[in-house]
Amino acid sequence: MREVSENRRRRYVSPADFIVAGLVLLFCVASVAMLFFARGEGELSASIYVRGELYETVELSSVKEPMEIEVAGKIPVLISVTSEGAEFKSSGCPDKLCMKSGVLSKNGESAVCLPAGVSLKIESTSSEPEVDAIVG
Amino acid sequence: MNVQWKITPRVRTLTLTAVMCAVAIALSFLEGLIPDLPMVIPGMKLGLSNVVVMLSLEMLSLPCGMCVVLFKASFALFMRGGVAAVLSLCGGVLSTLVMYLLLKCRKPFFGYLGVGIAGAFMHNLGQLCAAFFFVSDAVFAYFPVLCGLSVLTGAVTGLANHILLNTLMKIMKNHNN
Repeated sequence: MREVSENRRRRYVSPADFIVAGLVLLFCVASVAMLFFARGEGELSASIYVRGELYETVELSSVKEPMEIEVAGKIPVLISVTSEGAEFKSSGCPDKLCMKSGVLSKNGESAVCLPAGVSLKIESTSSEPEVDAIVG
Repeated sequence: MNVQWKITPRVRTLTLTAVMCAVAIALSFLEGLIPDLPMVIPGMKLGLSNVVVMLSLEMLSLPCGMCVVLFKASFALFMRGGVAAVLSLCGGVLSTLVMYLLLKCRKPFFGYLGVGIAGAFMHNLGQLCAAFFFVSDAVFAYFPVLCGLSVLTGAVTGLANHILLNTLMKIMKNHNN
């Protein structure tokens, strides 16, 4: 049992805290900038990854009628794709967090269903430089 | 019959660690009842059990804090499955280690605000890295929002820890005298 003596008691705010907060915010801004610059122009497509491997890619402009893609597995996932975007329609996972992400329509947007190991990502088809994969 | 109960420091550490573990589980359950805030990533949580880990680090020791993390992860294993357990473990171990280092650091002297923010950030980072191995780099799209939010949630957990620790210390002092 460690007693915290009066004079050594920690305060809530100390000047050093602003360094910590600043660093975290800097990470935030830097990552926003990275994601922003990683976005390319061109045709958008919805890619479905299962456990990190590309499962299917659908070019959004080629979608005339809303279509549904089923990913079978221990936890089945249903993804719906329209010309506007893509979303997790249903999932057998317990928390349904992936479905709450809603429709993804902008380049770089993504949603993940962790229990099923399925991720849905809107990507630009024309520019996909290799460096982006590392930056993530 | 006169039974004498002797509370040795070891017994005290053991019971306090057990209480911390129980409180951590209870808090993470209660946290799940709070509905998701709009404009926030679905599934984003306040991280109230970080308060308990911080408290164990300050009142007890690093092994006790790790004990709470392990206990929480094993609870997640039974309740939500293996993936959730690994995520909980990665986030928890990383944040506990960083918070411990910051609390050890005497110069500069970090306040609970900074420790809370660092803990929340590291928890998110650890979970994100684990999620990266499970799914794909798509999870890193969450990173900016998680960074921003960990400043807020860290500030809340830090404040909660500050108030709790002061209160607990007061109670214990009165109790000992």
